[in-house]
Amino acid sequence: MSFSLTLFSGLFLTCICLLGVLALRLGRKVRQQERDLGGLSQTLERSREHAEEQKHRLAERSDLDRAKDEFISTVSHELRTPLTSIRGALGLLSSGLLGDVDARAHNLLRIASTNTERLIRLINDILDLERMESGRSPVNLRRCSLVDLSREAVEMMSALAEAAQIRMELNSYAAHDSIYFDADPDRILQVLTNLLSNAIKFSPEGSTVSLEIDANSDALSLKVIDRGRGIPVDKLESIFDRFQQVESTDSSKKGGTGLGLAICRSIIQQHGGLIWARPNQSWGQSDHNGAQTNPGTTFCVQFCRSARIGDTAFPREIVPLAERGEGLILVCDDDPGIRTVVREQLRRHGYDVIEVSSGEEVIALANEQTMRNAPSPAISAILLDQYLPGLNGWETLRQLKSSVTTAAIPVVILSVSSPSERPLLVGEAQGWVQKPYNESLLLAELGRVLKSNAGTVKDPQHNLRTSRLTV
Amino acid sequence: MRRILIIDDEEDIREVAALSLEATAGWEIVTASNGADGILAAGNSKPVPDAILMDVMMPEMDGPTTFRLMQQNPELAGIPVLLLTAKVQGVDQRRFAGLGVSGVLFKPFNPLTLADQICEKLGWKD
Repeated sequence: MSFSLTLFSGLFLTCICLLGVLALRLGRKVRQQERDLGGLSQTLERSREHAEEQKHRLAERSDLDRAKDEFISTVSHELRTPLTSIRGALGLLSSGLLGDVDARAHNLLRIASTNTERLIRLINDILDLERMESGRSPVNLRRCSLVDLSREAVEMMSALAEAAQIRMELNSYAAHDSIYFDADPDRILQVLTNLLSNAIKFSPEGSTVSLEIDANSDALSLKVIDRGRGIPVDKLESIFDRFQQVESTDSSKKGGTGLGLAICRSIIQQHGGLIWARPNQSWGQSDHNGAQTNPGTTFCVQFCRSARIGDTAFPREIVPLAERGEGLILVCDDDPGIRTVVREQLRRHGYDVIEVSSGEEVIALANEQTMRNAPSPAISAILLDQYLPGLNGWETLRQLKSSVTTAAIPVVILSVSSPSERPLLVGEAQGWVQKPYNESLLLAELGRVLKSNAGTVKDPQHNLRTSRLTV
Repeated sequence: MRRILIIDDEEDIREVAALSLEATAGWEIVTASNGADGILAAGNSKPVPDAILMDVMMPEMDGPTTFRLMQQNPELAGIPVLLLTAKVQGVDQRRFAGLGVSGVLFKPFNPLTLADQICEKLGWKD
């Protein structure tokens, strides 16, 4: 009896103990959950605060944008108001409507008028550029015809051309259904008229300014070609910067604002396109009398149909060579250091080099080469980095090879990995150089690819272009 | 002969615009230096002006407010109003588009073609 009592009390005690332990555990768990909940609500609180802060910051920013808009609008208004009186007064006086003005006074009035017009253009250009570069000038995309826009631009410039005794011609090499693209027509017209008026201003009397347009399924291109004094190679890039003119007296002599090309570049970049200048192909050629003709300049604009609006593309460096090389190599690497090294090595061995930093630019340039009547020499091969921001090397290669027009251009991959890691791609790329590479390996591989490609090219046009290569 | 009312707070601009329209088109010009005077001048003018050329930024009563007040006056509501403004930014232009004016001309205007621009906006075949 006493045993069973002991057993019972023992069991009872054990149960109490177990219950106690359970209660303790439960209590701990509840406290844990309370803590968790507390943490959760804290997190919620924090994210709410974060959201509030973001909202606040956005509101602050749009307040700032509004204030800036307001300021620019006011400055513009305050500058234009006195200019209205000046322009009006000078215009009426020099028109002779209010009576005759003697020749010397008339000359002074002309000077004042011309410079008033210049000041008005300058104000317009500064405001234009400011709006575009701050992203507060949205592009209004519409389906446009490149041919129609070009025709309109040529028409708008015809009076200026006539006064300067310049002939203008418009040549379209584009297939009828390929000239349509999505763009802001007013902006494209602004680029075209700007390039044409530049070309007219810097062309000798009696010469011709050509506007050439071309398009295929991947890209559209337009070129404005003049027969002017040409642009020194070291200025081909900087002329697109603000207030950078080839000669410091240009703005006063030619009446430009020094902002036209910067505006053009902004507009083209807003459209995801590229703009650059290069000397005409016939650099240093002489005419039939043996006299050296003006080299002239070609301004090229290229739109890639796959480019997204708002993508910014960086202008690339073009390195023309005086000597005839063994071929034109397009070097694409996002590292400027590597580009420089490769360029120097290739140039030393007689190649011509174009440098680009993105896959998009490779596609754009390759397409340009395949267009009929491409004034630039054909690309003999592309040296392509594997890891690129945006369109990477693989994707670039795939696009090049999937387009009938660019598939024939041999590609050499420049990569940190060995070709065995991507065996499938070796079939698409004609060559492979592993980084870090040595010069002789690179040259050997490039030479091999060019040699084997020369024997297998089926596109006669491509062959033709390769053979008339001059830069 | 056409009669034009110019409302602008800048005396120089009134003078230049008036001279330009008189000399190039031979129109008769009436001027006023603010919105309130403009409404009075339009009402007192016999016959009423064929068109009103009005600045936007004016002290006390701006162009759009003056325009709205005129629209409430049955005698003046039928006169076509053109804004002549130095506000050329896109935001401003969108604001003008909703007002119901007959057109917008921009400063600085060309004094030799201002009359042509007015004719074009109003569909006049002078």
